[in-house]
Amino acid sequence: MNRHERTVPEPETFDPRMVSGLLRVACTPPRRPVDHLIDRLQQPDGPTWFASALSSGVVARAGQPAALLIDGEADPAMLDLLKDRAKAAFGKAADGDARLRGLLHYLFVIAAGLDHHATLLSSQPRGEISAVLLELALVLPTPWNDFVAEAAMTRSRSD
Amino acid sequence: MSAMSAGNENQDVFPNTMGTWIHQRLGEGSTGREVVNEHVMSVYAHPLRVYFLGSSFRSLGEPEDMVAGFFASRLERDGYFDQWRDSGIRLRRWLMNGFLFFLKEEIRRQHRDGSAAADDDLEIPMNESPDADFDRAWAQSMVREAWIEAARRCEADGLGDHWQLFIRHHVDGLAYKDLVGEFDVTPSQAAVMVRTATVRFKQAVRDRVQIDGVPEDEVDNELRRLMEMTS
Repeated sequence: MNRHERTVPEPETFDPRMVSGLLRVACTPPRRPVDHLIDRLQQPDGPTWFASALSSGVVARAGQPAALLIDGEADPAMLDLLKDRAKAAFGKAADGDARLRGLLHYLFVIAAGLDHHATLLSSQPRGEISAVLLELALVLPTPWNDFVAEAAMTRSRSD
Repeated sequence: MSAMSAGNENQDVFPNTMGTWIHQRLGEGSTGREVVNEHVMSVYAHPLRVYFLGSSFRSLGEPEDMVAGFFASRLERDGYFDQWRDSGIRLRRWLMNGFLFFLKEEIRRQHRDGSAAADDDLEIPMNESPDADFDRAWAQSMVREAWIEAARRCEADGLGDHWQLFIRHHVDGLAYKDLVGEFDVTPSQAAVMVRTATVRFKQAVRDRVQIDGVPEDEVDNELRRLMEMTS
């Protein structure tokens, strides 16, 4: 028995709340836009696609993505502007590829807001944003994975 | 059916229909029948006991004895699960109906022996919603069995800590960052480890729901229905 191991509870000890929670874990939630992005990044040419998407989206048009986002050169006002542009790029995309690119930039901008300014730029619930960022971080290359994962864990001023 | 059919190379005779896993096992002879019986008893005994205790049949005897007697009388019957598959109903409902018939047989037997309870309304269930109670108890038992299966698989794959992280996150409600000190991992590593264990647990639950006769494309709806009943 390792240091954490527990004995298996009897059925009666699986109270309704626990059962309901575990059933929820087993459910396949409706697919979110980020699920498509994660699928795209996991394809064999995912790294190539990522490099291309990063260098051709709204953030790249404003400067070096790594400098603006990871190094924190973009101030809150700039991030807010980039967020609106990424959101528009996502919403008005002509095809699925452009839509995913818009989403990637949108989430990176949100992550930068949390990492460097402790600000949640999205109106989505914080819990949902954290979950999305964490899942995205798992399929990103270095150093973007740590950048996004750190944002998922960072408290914003409104938390 | 990955978790429960590991090692089986038999062809899928009834793909995407109820009874696939059970009928594959039964096709393997006595060993397969033992596996099926073990599964049925481990997942369905608890809800049948709950059903029995919530009904006026409870004066017939001890719930454990009644359920054991029911399994002994039905599970070895040739064609029992063929009849279930032909019925088109969920296995849990099939077993509950069968249990009801068994209890009526038991009443007749006790009448013959002179040991029956005197209640005139013996066959009227006492709970207002015995079916709902039964389904809730089934969900409870099914989730527990899935838990055991996932824990066993994680342990066998050298992922014991992954499973413990799963419990701390999904059952105890701790955030990934709160698991850092306890497990000596980063939050990202904790997320990956929980996700790995979650895949095994999820599959174990979904296997059991499908074995009960729920088509694959309806599993999520069934899980949501069970969630509403249990919460």
